[in-house]
Amino acid sequence: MSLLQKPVEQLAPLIKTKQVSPLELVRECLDRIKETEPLVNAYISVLDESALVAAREAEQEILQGRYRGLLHGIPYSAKDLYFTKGVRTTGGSAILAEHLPTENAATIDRLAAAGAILVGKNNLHEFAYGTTNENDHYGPCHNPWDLQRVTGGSSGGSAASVAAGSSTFSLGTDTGGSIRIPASFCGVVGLKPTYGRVSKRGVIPLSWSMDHAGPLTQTVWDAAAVLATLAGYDPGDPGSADVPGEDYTAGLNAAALDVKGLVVGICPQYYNGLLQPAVAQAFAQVLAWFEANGAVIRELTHPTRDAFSVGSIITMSEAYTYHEKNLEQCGEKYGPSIRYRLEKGQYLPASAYINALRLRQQDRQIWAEIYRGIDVFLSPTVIMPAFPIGEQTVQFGPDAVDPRTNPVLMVLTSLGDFNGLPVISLPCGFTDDGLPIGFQIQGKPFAEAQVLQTAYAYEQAHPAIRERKCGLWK
Amino acid sequence: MEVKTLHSMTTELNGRSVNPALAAHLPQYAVEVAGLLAAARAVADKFPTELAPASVFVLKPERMIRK
Repeated sequence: MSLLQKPVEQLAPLIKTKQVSPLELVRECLDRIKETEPLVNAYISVLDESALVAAREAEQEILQGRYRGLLHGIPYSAKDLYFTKGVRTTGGSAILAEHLPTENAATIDRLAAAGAILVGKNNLHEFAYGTTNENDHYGPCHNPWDLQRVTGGSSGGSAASVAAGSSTFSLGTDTGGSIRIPASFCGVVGLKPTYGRVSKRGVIPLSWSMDHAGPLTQTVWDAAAVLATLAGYDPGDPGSADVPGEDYTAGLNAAALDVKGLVVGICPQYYNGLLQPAVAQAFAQVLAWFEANGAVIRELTHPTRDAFSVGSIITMSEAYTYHEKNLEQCGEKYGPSIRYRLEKGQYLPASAYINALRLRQQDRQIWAEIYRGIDVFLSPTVIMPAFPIGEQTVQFGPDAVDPRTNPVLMVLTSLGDFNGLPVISLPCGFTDDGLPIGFQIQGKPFAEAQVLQTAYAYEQAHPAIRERKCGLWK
Repeated sequence: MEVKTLHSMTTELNGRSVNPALAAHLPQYAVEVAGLLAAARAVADKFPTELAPASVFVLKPERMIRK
């Protein structure tokens, strides 16, 4: 069994006790990248040289008894939206093809301080503004479970690298579902923390007030371990919340496995009539498991679904504002579908933006009221499994829509960016064709610990799902 | 919404130029933006007058109305 099939939870003790060398692990990871990249295209840049230097340093430190913690010597990748000092950061665009940041993103610095080793920068949907990861400049990212299919996006390279074993974990971003959608399509875990929980300093923005940074991992435990390193106040990020992080792995123990009495909210009005049969079946089995193990399922009626449509005004306005100058000066360098979506933002008046923010305030009040009666909130992550690359239309209720310009894949995930609450997506089954299906667990503000515990309970009870690997391992 | 309205917004309100790619999209934008703004107005019509916008950045957990 390859070391890269092991999650951080298993690798860390081996590194700590010197049974596995960081150099050996990073070399294996770089070899795996070489082996899988011709098929998957999960990376825009691979950092062989610097990764090997860092691995040798980690090895020396550990040999000298200076083990830093769980992520020391662990190879990881980051969406090519995170600034890396002196290493090109393209945003998946032609415009920034040669962009060399002068600083690291705050999260990259945090991981470096923890001893994690960056092996490469992941492919993404251009400027994170899309959900298929069909990148016009760097090529589409291929789903490791079926190479003819999309990974989902925009953090598609991140999810694909974790699924393919070409990184142990990865950093993604989520503005309308961009961590959770590819996590669902690629059969990995994706965590979008509470807004403000993880610094976005040094991450190319899509929408300042909707963007979230977070990890994609093999397991829930790994998501907890990475979040523990990423979380915390950053005065350099105006959106950072002054709330201390926690050791999120501490709560993932035998006690967490008991969901008896947990009150689980669901809101079928969000997805009735939209789910493909395999997704509906998998999610029904999720609910059946929670109920069979003593959780209480409470069906909710959210008074509005407008967060999905009207909420998009916030992202469209902010994204246009960020890109306005480049659209005027070098608009032809954007991919056609991105350019189309970005330009639309210029026609939204300030009153529409303000009303979208008023809706957001009302939505927060509604969720606060809802959380008086529930502990966590569950839904499928995406209404369908991964579809073929280049597919012109997918079904959205009664309509056939283009997934490049229609937000069909975000219909269940964008709510979590609008309300800013913590959400995790984890695998819950497979289609008959072997494509992963995910569901998501949302919690109260800054209640990542409970979200992780609930996800951990489900994951530990379903080892066949957790341990199933994509065909690239055969 | 008329295409010429969007054309004027680009040049007069936003200080931009209308390149061929943008011009080709204006008819579709006219349809999509009109729908979006109508949806926003319909939602706003139901707001209580005193409803203030959410802060763009949430700096304190209390601001997220945790109860």
